Amino acid sequence: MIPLEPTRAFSPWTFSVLVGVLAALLGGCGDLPDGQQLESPHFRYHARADAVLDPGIMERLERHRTEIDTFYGVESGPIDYYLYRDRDDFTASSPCPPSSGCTNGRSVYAYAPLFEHELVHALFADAGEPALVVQEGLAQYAACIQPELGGGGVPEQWPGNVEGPDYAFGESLVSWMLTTGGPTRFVRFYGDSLTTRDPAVFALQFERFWGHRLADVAGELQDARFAGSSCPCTAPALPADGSAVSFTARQDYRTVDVAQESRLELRNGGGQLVYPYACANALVDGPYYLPDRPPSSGSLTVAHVGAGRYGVIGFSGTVSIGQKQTAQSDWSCEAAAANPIDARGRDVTAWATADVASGQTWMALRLEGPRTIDMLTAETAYEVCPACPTRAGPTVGCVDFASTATSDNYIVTPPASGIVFVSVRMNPSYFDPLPLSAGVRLRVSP
Amino acid sequence: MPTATGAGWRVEPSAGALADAVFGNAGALTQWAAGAQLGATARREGSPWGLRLRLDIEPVTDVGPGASLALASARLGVERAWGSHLVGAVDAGGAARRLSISDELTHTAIGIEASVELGWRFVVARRCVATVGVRYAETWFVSDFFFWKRAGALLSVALTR
Repeated sequence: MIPLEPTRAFSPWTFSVLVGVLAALLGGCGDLPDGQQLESPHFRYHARADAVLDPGIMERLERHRTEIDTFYGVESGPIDYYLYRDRDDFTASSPCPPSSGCTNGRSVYAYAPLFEHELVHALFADAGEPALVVQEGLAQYAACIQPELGGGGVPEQWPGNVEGPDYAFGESLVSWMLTTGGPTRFVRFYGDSLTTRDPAVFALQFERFWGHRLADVAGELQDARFAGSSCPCTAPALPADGSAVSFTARQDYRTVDVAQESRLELRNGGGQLVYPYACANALVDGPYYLPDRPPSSGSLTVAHVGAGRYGVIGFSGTVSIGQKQTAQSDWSCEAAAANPIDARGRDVTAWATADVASGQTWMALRLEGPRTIDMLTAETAYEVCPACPTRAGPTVGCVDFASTATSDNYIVTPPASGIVFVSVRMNPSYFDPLPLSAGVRLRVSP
Repeated sequence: MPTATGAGWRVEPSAGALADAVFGNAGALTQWAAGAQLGATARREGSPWGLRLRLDIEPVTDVGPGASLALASARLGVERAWGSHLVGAVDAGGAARRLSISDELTHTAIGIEASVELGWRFVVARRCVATVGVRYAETWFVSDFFFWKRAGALLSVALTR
């Protein structure tokens, strides 16, 4: 018989603390940020005395807690959030091992004002302390602000993925459990599972609880249904009238409901990249190729999206986003030519969400000079052409990622003015059979 | 056969059976374990103290359909007698846990174990002493973040000179 709420002898974090204590003894004692403190019903926010805090931080933390707690049916106790000044302060003073954040029970240590992954750990601290692959998998899966791409990996390697633990494997496994049993059953397993890296111990408990061999489930995790983060997406919607809403990228998000296949335009006055992801299964691995360059004065993301609810997030800085939706089902080059997008003087991103990215999406952009093109998601297949390709063969003058990308994954187009035609799609040879979002960003070249 | 090791030392080999209740976190996997114990105790003539080695193996088969678990340990410790009958011991050493799930996976984890025993010794035949006792053991396997806690009874028979 499995006790519903096994007691915990000690936590994984204990090891981290031991390492931290040893480091403190050797290198001088660290100190927790506590020069100023903000409080809300469920959070105590501790920061250095000289830190300039976002006045909306407590409201965002409470909103995030409500969103996660409501969806999963847990009730988190009060959380202490310790905000360090920067990475150096965090490294020198936090009790965490080398990282960007860690959690001990309901205490979060980070130098990001709202570290979503660690917050999920803290929000579930009272629900149990399961196998590490489940803890980390959930923190990756329950993401609204920073969606992560999961993945089952090679099915036969599941014992190693449990032992690791492999975060992406854990994310897909959590997705499988939630799909199979819903939040209530998942949370019960979260409380039952022993804190271990041992694949046999975990598999034994998993199979008793779920009635499926873990080796078989590992094979199912290849399915795209289990590949993405998921968000309840209860954040406010972007206004339908196109008026802009401002928020801090990587700290907050907004939502968009799309009734049918559409062209979704997201104008960002802040200039940095913004993009949509599917709330139910965010198959986006993030724009990790995007070089850190100064933003232009404004940017536009034009996304090919299917029907559904989407989260809208920004890559960095403060974003100010307005939306416009136009129903569109024909994404051929000829259809794009009839409705060009004015991209003069601003960065523009061509994006296709995962549900539609396996088909080719053409967009016509009006430019006035050379562009630097960044590939935003893993191995997006794209072309930039001076005219629509003919069926007889490739159009002279097209550039594509495969033939022209530099080692930094960007290309620079020759000076061009007038209309250019851009196609994006998920490269099926890269991560087959997983459909992923596809996107490229055409930055105004300096 | 007991063996003289010189200068008044004697080694007593022993064998026995043990049965444990498993509780705490590990009780989620199995609630009991039973098996065999082999051992040897070295004593000096006239001293209440002894040095001992114990080898335990406890196979468990109730962990699930097609699944089996075996716990094993090798420990060194000290033993003390009070009078003719009462004996106590403290051991520590290495442990291993082998868990097989049908044809899916077999995994062995290693760890460390410490145990305490309290027993009652009595002569059952010439050159033959039996001990009945109780014991408590805690084991930590390196892949786990909890302890295996076991408490149980043991019966062993040792050959004396």
